[in-house]
Amino acid sequence: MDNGKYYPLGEKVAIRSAFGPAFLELARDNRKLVVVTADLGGSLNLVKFGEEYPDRYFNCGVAETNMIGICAGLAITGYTPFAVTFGSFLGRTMDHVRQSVGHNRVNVKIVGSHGGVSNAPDGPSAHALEDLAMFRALPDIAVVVVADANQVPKAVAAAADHPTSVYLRLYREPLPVFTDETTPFEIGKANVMRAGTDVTVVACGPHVGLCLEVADEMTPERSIEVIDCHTVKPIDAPTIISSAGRTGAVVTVEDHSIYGGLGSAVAEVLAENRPTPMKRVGLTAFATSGKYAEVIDAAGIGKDDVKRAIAAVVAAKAEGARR
Amino acid sequence: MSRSIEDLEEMARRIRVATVKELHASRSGHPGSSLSIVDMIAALYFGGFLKYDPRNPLWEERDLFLLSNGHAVPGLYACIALAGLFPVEELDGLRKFGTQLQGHAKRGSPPGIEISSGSLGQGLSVGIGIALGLKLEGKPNRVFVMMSDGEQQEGSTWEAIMFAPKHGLDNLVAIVDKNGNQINGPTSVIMPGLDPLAAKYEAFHWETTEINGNDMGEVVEALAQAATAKGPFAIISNTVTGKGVSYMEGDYHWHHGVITDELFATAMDDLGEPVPAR
Repeated sequence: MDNGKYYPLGEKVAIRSAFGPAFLELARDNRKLVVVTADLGGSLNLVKFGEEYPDRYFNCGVAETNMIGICAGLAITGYTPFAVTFGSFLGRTMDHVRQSVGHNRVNVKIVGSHGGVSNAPDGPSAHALEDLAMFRALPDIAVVVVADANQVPKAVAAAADHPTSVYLRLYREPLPVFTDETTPFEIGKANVMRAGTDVTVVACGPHVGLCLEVADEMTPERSIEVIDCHTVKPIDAPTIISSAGRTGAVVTVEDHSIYGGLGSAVAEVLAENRPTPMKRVGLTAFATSGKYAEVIDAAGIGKDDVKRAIAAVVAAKAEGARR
Repeated sequence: MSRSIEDLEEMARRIRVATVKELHASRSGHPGSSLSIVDMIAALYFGGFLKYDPRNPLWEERDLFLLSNGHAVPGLYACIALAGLFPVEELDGLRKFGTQLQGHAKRGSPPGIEISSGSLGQGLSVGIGIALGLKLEGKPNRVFVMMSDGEQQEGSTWEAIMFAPKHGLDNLVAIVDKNGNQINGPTSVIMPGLDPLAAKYEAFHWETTEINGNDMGEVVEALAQAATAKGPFAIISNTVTGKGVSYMEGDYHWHHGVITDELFATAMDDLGEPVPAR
C-alpha cells in the first residue's frame, strides 16, 4: 500500500509496517502531529516521516520514560505527540504516564507495537502481555487494539482526533488482512464482524482474524458471532450485552494476560449487566521463543484453545438451560 | 521588577515566613526543601528572571517554572502567593481537603503551578518537551526546571540530562537544589556516587555553574549567566535543608516534619518575624 491506503483482503501484512505511512499521510495535513520514539521508529516504518519532517521526529534513544515525559511537555505546548516504542517496554513508563501525562491532564498518544507474542522469536522479554491491563487502570486514556493493517489508518486518525490520551496497540507478525476500506472504525464502538446465534466471540487484535477462521471451520455445527472489540476502554457495553443476550454464551480471545485485559473488561460488563456463561482465552504465563504459530498454540491462544472454549461455554449454556 | 540584592533577600525572608506559617497550619509537609529552595525562587519571581503576569497566570508569553521535586511545593506556594498569583490567605489551606493547595504540586492548582510532580525524576523530561514545543513554535519563552539532589538518583533524570543537549535547548535551565539531605539521611551517605554532580552535567554536555544557592548574590549571577547560555544550562545550587530555621538547618529529619506551636515560635524568631497573635 505504498500509495493507496488499503490492502486486498487476505494479503499478509504486518500491522506495525502500516503505521508509518498512515501517520505520514495524516501528519502532512496536521503540523501539530509529532513523534517521539525510544529508537524504534524504524520498526514502525517511520523513517520516511523522519526524513520529510526531521523537526517533528525526535529519537530520544533507548529511554522510554524520558520519551513519555517529553511527550507530556510537547502536549502542554499544544502539540499532539505520538510516543512510539514496543508494548513490552512500556511497563517501565507506568508511573510517568500516570503523573506526567495523567495528573497533568495532557493529551498524548502512546503506541505500543509488537503486541502480545507477535514478536514471537524474540522471546518473552519482547512479548507485551500486560499493557492493556496497565493502561486500562489509568483514568483518561482510551485503549485501542488494532486488528489488521487496513484498520491502521483509521485507528491512527481516530486516535489523533480523540479528546483524551490513547494507547494504541500494534502487532509485528504479518497476518491476513480481513477488514476493508468500508469497515467502520470508531473509538468505543465494537464491530460485529460476523453474526451468529450459538455463541459470541469477543476478540481484539489479529486474533479477530483467527476467530473468524475458527467460526468458518466450526460451521455449520456452530453459529458463531464474532465481535472485533478494538476499543478495550471505553468498552462498548451495549454491543456486548446485546450480543450476549442473543447467544447466551461468550468467549473472549486476546493475545494478552488473561488478567486485566479484554476478557476482564467483558466479564465486568456482563457480570454487572447480563450474567452470561463465559470463558476467557488469554495467557496465564510467560511464553517462549518460536514461530508465531507455534508460540500462540503453546501459550494457549491458538485456534484449538478457542474451539475448546467455545465448546465449553456452549455446554455451560446448555447445562444452565437444563437447571 | 529587578530589585537589589537586599530587596531580594528581604523577599526570601518573607517567603520563608509565609512557608513556615503555611506548614505550621497544615501540621504536615516538607519544610526542609521548601525552605532550601527559597532564595532561588525569590530571585526568579522577584528578580526579573522569570517572565510572568500575576493577573494572567496562563499568559502565552510567560516563562515556565517547573518544580520537579514536588514535595517542596509549600515554598513555591508561598512565593507565588506573595507574587500575586493567588491570595496569601489561601496558604492556610495547605494539604486540606477542598483547597487548591495539594500536598505535592498539581498542574493548574492554583494557576501558576505549571506541572504535577511528586513522583521524582519526571520534571526535566516534561521541561524538555515544553522547550522543544516552544522552539517548534519559534517562541522565545524559557523553561526553568528545579530538581532536588535526591532526585538525581532516578535513572529517568539521566535519560533527560543526556537528551537535552542533542537539540541545543538554550531555552532550558535545570536547577538542582542540592541541600544534601533526603528522607532517610544525607545524600552523601545514601548515595555517595552523586558527587561530583556539576562534573556529571558537564560530561553530559551541559553548560554548568555551581553556586551557594542560599547566597542571593551568587543566585542572581548564576541566573544572569543562564540567560546567555548557548544550550541547556545547569545550576548546581548548594543549599541548606531548612535554611533560616535554626533547628532544621542541615538536619535530614526535617525533610518532612510537623512544626508544633513551640517550634513555630522559634522559627518566627529565627526569621526575625513577630509571632502572630493567636
